[in-house]
Amino acid sequence: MSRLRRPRRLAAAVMLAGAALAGLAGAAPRTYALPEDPELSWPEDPAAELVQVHCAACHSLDYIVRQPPGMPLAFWEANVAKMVRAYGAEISPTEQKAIADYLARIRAGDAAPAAADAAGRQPGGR
Amino acid sequence: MAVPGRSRRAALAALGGAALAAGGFARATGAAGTVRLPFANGERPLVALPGKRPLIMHTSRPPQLETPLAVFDATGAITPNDAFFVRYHLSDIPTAIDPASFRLRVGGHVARPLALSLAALRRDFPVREIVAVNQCSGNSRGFWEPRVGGGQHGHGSMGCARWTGVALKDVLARAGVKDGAVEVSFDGLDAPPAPTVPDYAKALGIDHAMDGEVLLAWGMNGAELPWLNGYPLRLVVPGWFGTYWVKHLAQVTVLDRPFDGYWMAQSYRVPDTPCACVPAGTKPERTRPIGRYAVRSLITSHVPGDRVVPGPVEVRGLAFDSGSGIARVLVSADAGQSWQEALLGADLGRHAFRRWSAVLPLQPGENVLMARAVSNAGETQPFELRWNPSGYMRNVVERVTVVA
Repeated sequence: MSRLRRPRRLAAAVMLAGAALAGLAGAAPRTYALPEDPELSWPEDPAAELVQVHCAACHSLDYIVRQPPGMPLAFWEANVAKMVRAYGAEISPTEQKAIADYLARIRAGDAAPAAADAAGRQPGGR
Repeated sequence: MAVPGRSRRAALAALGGAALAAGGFARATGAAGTVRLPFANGERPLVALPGKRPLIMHTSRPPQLETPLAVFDATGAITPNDAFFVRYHLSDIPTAIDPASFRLRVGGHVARPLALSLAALRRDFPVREIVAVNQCSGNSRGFWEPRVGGGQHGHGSMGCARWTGVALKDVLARAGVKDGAVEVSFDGLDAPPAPTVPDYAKALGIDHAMDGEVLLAWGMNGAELPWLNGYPLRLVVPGWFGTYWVKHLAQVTVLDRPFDGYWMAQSYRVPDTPCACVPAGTKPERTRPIGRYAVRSLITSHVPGDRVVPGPVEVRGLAFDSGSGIARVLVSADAGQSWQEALLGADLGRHAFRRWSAVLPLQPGENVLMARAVSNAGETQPFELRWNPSGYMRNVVERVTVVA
């Protein structure tokens, strides 16, 4: 999957440069290894690619799967809109709708699971 | 879309199973098992990140980890560093810091801007310690009814530690706060993942900043701060929610006007009502920034659905408030029909966890355990949830149903 490279802070680069110089005197920077994103399986849908590209640019996708089950479409629409309005995510209105529709459908959660047809779609198209 | 490493059958199975399962997640990260928090969609992997024992993982980027309730029951009022919860907003976390060249910058409305090394902080100011609880604003949000979005925490996004550092007041005095200062803002080394995302920064009123209790802390329980808890320096704001306890603190700025950054002006706000609450499902007319804790008690010895032997059973837990200390904890085993006083544990200070225990007679069948704390200031817990749209400040009397 493609994922945008996370930008690094200039200050960190300066700090590392300073650390390199300090390294001449024997000091060393302390470092920390952050975990990889989890592998999650996404029900097949064109919108799944939008989620991977737009959402994973800023954060791991477990943020999405942790949300309470069965939240209404309005909840997902509001959250996607907040990513655009408050955090500047570049997601077109058409894409926002597709993402919200998809997440509302796959995160229906505790509702009795409906049988998927051979193409993996839920009955009723929701 | 094709998912690397997973068959089409597995993808269909995931869809048919409705909820995206955490099981695959656990295998991918090499996690140490899973836990099931007692609310819908409560399954989480237990993951051990460097410096931490296996903790409940909510998210990986940025990492957010919760302390299992059993840890509080086993370790007493002080939460070990390797069990302390972790919360971040922004995913560009510092991954390399040179402690020798690190500087805490103090500037803004001051006479003498400073750039203090860790060595200078330790050497040039009186060292102070305080035992204090750090609780996430959204601790216990997973229990909200009706549910709201955000981090779906159980009760474990909190901890109590002995913090070592210097008083912010002493550092600000060295810088010389100028007349007209109204607030102080705090910024850490963590950065937004994109330039359009607001940087995480918080602010306190100048009087609060100068109260002598707010610390610039490098130490936690006698050791350096774990990386994920803010190495090498963090703000400690006793009695106030964890959103203010800025980690990897690098910049302190005295301001002559109120701070209007996103994470103060738009986020971390509660209804501007006496209860910080609104009718469930509604929105407040006005909001104010979240501030002090509401008095709280939690049962740590039992979780909903536990099976116990009928008869006398020791029930244990902890309690805390925003700084007056705990006066009493009352405990019930019959859904609040009758109450008895709990025995309080050692008093580690008015900002610390206070442990409590009581021996309760459990009847055959269901027993609803409840605990209700009263602070020295006379504050107590409500029996009904004080609902707000963000899931902040939970302090309702919790109910834990066990079966004897």
